[in-house]
Amino acid sequence: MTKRNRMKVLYNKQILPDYYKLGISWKDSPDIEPGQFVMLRLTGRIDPLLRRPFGIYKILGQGIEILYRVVGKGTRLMTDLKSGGTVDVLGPLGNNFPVDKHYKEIIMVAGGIGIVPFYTLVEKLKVKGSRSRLLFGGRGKDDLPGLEDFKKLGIDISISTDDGSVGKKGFVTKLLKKELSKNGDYVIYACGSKGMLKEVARITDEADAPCYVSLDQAMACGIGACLGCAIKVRGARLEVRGKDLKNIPEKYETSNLKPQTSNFYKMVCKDGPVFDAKEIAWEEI
Amino acid sequence: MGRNIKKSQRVKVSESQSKKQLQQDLSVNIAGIELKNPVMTASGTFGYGEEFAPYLDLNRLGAVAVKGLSLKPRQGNPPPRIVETAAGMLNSIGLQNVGVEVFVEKKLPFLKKFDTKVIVNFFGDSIDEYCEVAKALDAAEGIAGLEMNISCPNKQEGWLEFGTNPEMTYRVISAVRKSTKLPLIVKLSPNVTDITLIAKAAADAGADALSLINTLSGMAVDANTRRPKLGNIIGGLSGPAIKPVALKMVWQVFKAVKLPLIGIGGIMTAEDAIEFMLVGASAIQVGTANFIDPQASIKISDGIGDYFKKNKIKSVKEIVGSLRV
Ligand SMILES: Cc1cc2nc3c(=O)[nH]c(=O)nc-3n(C[C@H](O)[C@H](O)[C@H](O)COP(=O)(O)OP(=O)(O)OC[C@H]3O[C@@H](n4cnc5c(N)ncnc54)[C@H](O)[C@@H]3O)c2cc1C
Ligand SMILES: Cc1cc2nc3c(=O)[nH]c(=O)nc-3n(C[C@H](O)[C@H](O)[C@H](O)COP(=O)(O)O)c2cc1C
Ligand code: FES
Repeated sequence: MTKRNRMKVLYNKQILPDYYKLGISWKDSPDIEPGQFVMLRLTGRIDPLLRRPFGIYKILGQGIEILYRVVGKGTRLMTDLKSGGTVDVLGPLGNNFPVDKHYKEIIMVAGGIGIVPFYTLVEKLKVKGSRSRLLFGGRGKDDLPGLEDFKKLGIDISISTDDGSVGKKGFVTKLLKKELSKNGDYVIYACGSKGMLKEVARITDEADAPCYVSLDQAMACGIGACLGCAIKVRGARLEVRGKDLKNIPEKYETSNLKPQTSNFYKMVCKDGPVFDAKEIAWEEI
Repeated sequence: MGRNIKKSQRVKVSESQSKKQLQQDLSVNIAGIELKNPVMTASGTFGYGEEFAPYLDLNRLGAVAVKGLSLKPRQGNPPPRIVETAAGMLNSIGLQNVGVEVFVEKKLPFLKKFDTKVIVNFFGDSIDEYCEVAKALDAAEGIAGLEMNISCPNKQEGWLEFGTNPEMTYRVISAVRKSTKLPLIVKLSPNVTDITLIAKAAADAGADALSLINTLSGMAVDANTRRPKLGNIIGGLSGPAIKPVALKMVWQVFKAVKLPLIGIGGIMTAEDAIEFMLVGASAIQVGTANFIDPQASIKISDGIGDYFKKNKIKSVKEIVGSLRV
């Protein structure tokens, strides 16, 4: 059940020059699935006007932890939050990474702040006994937020940075290419910039490997009402590698028209933020 | 909550509602539509109602105006569709909607379960399309009234917006008037030189009420990338930034025509709503505020009640257009 509530700030601490962790008290928090997000508002403020979407990084005993990167007005104001203050939270919202099907190995590809959905995912998968491997890329050593947390989880981690300050020099997608050259029973989960995700989708498609991506789009409502966070997906008849995508736009549920063959829009907040990479019309993004 | 609400529950809600109303009568009649309070949700900001049902009791709303419908489904504009601006937001959704057929079959049944009025916003890109949508809605059960969005380009006449030209406004409304017996609210565009000319044309053509304003045309640019921030380049501005413009236009139209008015534009609080009533609005719509607080509409309704109590106002009628000038 989705909730909206005013919640207490437990802590707000800087972990890297551009990254903060915000702990929020959430008594009787609902079940949260890996990949879900909340819409956050600074209590009482109408400037910035709209709520901002943030993934749920960690589930605490009686709350959640947000990991955020300072990019603009809203996130800059968030850095002033103090323990004891409040924020307005709407959530949890959206779908989640599919964890029902069992794969021997899970390969997570994260770019910078794209690390967020993976902490709860690893925790969940550990219970299920899958081996997980993190490919983590950033611009430099200060762009790998949460790396210490993942080290503690004891999973395999490979790092790349654009400037070569840590790990391999280059894009994280280069690491992925190498991984996929080995055969195996794996699934790829990715979160990061659209450019990175597009490349991940291309590589995994070539390797015919299952891949899910978590997308980021500007949002206003977060609940599927404003139709603001649209993303182009492929129509039903565009079968990809023999698999029917079952992408049927709402209008054809009732009419006896033929299923639509052209691409159409889905909403990142409600139909996503996690999508099968084959579903996205990458050429239009 | 709300979902599968039983008839008995529904009656209960409206009884407690009416008890409240014994002290503070917030009811108002617009174009023959009896509203329990003057607060509606604005088209495009409240989906088809069902999206918001988990967050507030729809029974407490005067009316729900649904996302604008066209004859056939529309897929809308390329993203990005949303960008925040100073005290407001621009949207270029592009009137994406499920079309009249799916609305009537799939969306309307849910809304009908609630003790609130359903106002169906609609548009077309030709006079024929406007009329066909109006006819299709006229045939459906459970619709209290239509809200006609005339901020839409006319395909047959150089893509000029219907609502920016008095003559075109007159023609499209008179044609729609003949296509439906439902109360007809016409929603005016603020992107005109003299809104009173359009309002008069709408009144002459047979509109039962006017709602105003729709979004103000605008754009946003990214200086670093040198690109427009919206996929469609231009969009519509809404939110607190447009309230002064909206107040002025309601005031102008209030003085120019006799029709009941519904005030829209940047209403975030009950005080904002009262301001619109003072300049001539008999009811108001809450738009962008729904995104910031999903319960904004019912908080505003409660706040209007408190204001009435504090100022010993007995009915909506008493305050409408009572601006001291
Ligand atoms: C489902 C989802 C989950 C997210 N999870 C997280 C998270 O866990 N941690 C986190 O730090 N961020 C996350 N984001 C991104 C976050 O919402 C934006 O960074 C935030 O809204 C920016 O607000 P602002 O007021 O600081 O920036 P603004 O003043 O709005 O914008 C400043 C700059 O940031 C850019 N920007 C604005 N919004 C976004 C956006 N949504 N994505 C990328 N760039 C943007 C603008 O183009 C502009 O250049 C998520 C976004 C989505 C859609
Ligand atoms: C995302 C969005 C979608 C909208 N869609 C419609 C629409 O389909 N039809 C319409 O008549 N108005 C539409 N509007 C305009 C609103 O109903 C309202 O007139 C406008 O936003 C001003 O009110 P506000 O400042 O309270 O938001 C839309 C507004 C927004 C923000
Ligand atoms: S943010 Fe409103 S529909 Fe997704």
